[in-house]
Amino acid sequence: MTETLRQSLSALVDQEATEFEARKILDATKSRGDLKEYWASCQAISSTMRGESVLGTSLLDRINAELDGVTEAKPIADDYNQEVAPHVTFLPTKEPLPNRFAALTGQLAIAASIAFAVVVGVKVVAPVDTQPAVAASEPLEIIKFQMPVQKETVSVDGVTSAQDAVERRPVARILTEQDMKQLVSNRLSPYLIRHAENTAVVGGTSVLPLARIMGRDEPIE
Amino acid sequence: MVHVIVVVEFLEKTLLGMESPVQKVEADNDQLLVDRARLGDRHAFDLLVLKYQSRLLSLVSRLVSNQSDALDVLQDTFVKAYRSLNTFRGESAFYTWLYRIAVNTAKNHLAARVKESKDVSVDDDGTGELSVLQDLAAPEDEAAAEELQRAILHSIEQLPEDLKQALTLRELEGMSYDEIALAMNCPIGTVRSRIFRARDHVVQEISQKFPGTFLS
Repeated sequence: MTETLRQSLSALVDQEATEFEARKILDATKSRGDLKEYWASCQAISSTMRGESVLGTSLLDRINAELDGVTEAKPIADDYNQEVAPHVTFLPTKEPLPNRFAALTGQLAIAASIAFAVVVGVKVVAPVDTQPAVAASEPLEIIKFQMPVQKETVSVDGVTSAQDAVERRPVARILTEQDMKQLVSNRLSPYLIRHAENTAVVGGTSVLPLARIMGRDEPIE
Repeated sequence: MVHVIVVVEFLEKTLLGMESPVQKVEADNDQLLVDRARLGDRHAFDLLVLKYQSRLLSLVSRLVSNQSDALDVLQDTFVKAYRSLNTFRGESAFYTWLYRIAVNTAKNHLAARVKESKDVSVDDDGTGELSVLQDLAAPEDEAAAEELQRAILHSIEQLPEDLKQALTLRELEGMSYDEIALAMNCPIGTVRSRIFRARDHVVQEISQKFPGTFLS
């Protein structure tokens, strides 16, 4: 081992070697056992000066023996592996059949659960498409809005009953501005009353009181 | 059992906070060794083992207080580290990463030993746990190691003053070559040369006195 190489190794011990030196040493270590011995000696000096226990290469031998006994994930083609001849066992390329079947069953179960949840969700949230089916059976009232029913938007002349409304063609008339104001006022009042009730329940932290004031003072034109 | 784990966690927190200057300097260039080891270069990993085994042994010995168990823990630590090298992202120093593996391995080892001793022991007064902690290393191994250490220290004492000073500033104070050059008022190349000559002298001496010590 040349003095230059030993000096580079000493610098590597101190983390002061250049990258070129470090690579050169690492490459040389593959073919020169004495480099590793020199490295171990330098580390022993460091350990002794720091008051630590000194270990030789016995622990390293134990570690290498254990590592050689297991599968090498990425063996390199150098003399190290040629010297030791590690025992290589190949993992199975495919999983055993029961595991694959269990995984497939699990995936199917998850997919079926999601599909079921989606179907139920669509039926509950948007029952528009199911209107004929619901109408054929018992009327199903899922969400009941207690809103005032307004029937005055269109005035029908001469209608006396529901039967007449079906048989006779209704005649619409155009509402005047005064009628519109009256309608708006009539519709707005129940809304505002209900809104005031909700505001009392929810509290005054929202913008609802402001909306009430605007609605009262500035009726929709 | 709970007390042992608490003590271990306390030691972990206490010791982890004590980052020596040497650790700070060493944080960088280990990455090259790690990268090579990650690619399957076992020689590079060997250098890492040789570099950190003594430092980790001191740590683990404080946790398990049994030289034989400490060596087992250390072996498991390095094997786990090698198998998990792909998970080391270089966000911390390699030693810090190794340290955590060692502490966790020691914890698991302690828990297993305590459970084992409880299963075997007929008394429930906790003396089994103490016997695990107070088991000592083989005296002949300790004697050989102490003899080697005495020879190293003696050889260092015989060094010329400038070499000894440079080596001491590096090893004990953890100073970089730049800092040593400033402290000793000499070029950085001289520092590098002095430290090398100091080490080389000691290595030659102990190789003569203890042939084959580091190459079994």
